[in-house]
Amino acid sequence: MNRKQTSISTCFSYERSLEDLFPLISSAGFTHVSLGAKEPHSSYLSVSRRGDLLQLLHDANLRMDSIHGIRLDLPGALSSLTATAEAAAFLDVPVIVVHASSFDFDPSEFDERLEVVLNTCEALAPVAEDTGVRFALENVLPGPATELVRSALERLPSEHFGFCYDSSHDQIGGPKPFTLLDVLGTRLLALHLSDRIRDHVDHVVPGEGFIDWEKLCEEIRHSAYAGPVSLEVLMNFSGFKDQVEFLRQACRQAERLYPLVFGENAAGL
Amino acid sequence: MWRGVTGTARMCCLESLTYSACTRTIWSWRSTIREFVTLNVGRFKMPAKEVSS
Repeated sequence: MNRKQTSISTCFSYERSLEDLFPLISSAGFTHVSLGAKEPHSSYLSVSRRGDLLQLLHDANLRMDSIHGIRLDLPGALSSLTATAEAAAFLDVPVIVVHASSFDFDPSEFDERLEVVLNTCEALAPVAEDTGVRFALENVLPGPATELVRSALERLPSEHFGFCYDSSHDQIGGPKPFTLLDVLGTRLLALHLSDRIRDHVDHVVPGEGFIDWEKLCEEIRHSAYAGPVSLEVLMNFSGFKDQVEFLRQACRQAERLYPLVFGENAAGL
Repeated sequence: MWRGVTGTARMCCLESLTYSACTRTIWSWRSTIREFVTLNVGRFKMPAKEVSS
């Protein structure tokens, strides 16, 4: 029987090595893992380390669904994301998640920032073509920074660039409708699912906050998304303080969401 | 000489009074500040930032 495809980002525990984390993640029931934004935690940019990562994934019976790359607008983004794409291709990871800007910025900077993002993406398109890896631009603070993602994706080719939906970011100031998925659902390549409790208190396990998961999963179900139910949750504000219990509960919730996203008869991807 | 001693004593007395008044004022302010902090401890926490992962 195929298992429900579920994933969790390593960002919940940068203090523990991947040698420790992958078996824990696998034991909790996850089928996939995604690498968080702190590259030194996994050192995937080091060519020699990539073989170790492949072995670790194999040993833990895990697959990797995404890598969180550096921001598109930072100096050196092109070379860093090119190396990230090479690592992703080696590790059989289909998507690299990126932020297009700082979490928020002044609206007067919009046009200049859009040009920077489009220029970097234009240079990344051949990299995506060569490696077969796609880049998913993530929504950040609602407002200009998320509008930048929407505007950039409107101009970028869908074969190489898509959308990463972060539920905690989208629901800042919520609960509110999931209109962002109405707009960008057809470009959805990656999920950063987590729940939100109140201002500044989020990225908790689904069910711990105010997000209406039935409605959200319905939106995802009507989108182009075909990857695992992927969580980006942290322990900072979660009620689950023990790491093993946190992982167990997170996986349980991800498995509950799975049929809501892919249908009751979904038998794994 | 006596005049000098008396003068010194008078000064000491004045300083002592001033010191005492200052101490009273400081203690009074201290309790006011403590009460203010106790009442507003939740309200004046440094604003947290949104998690930008």
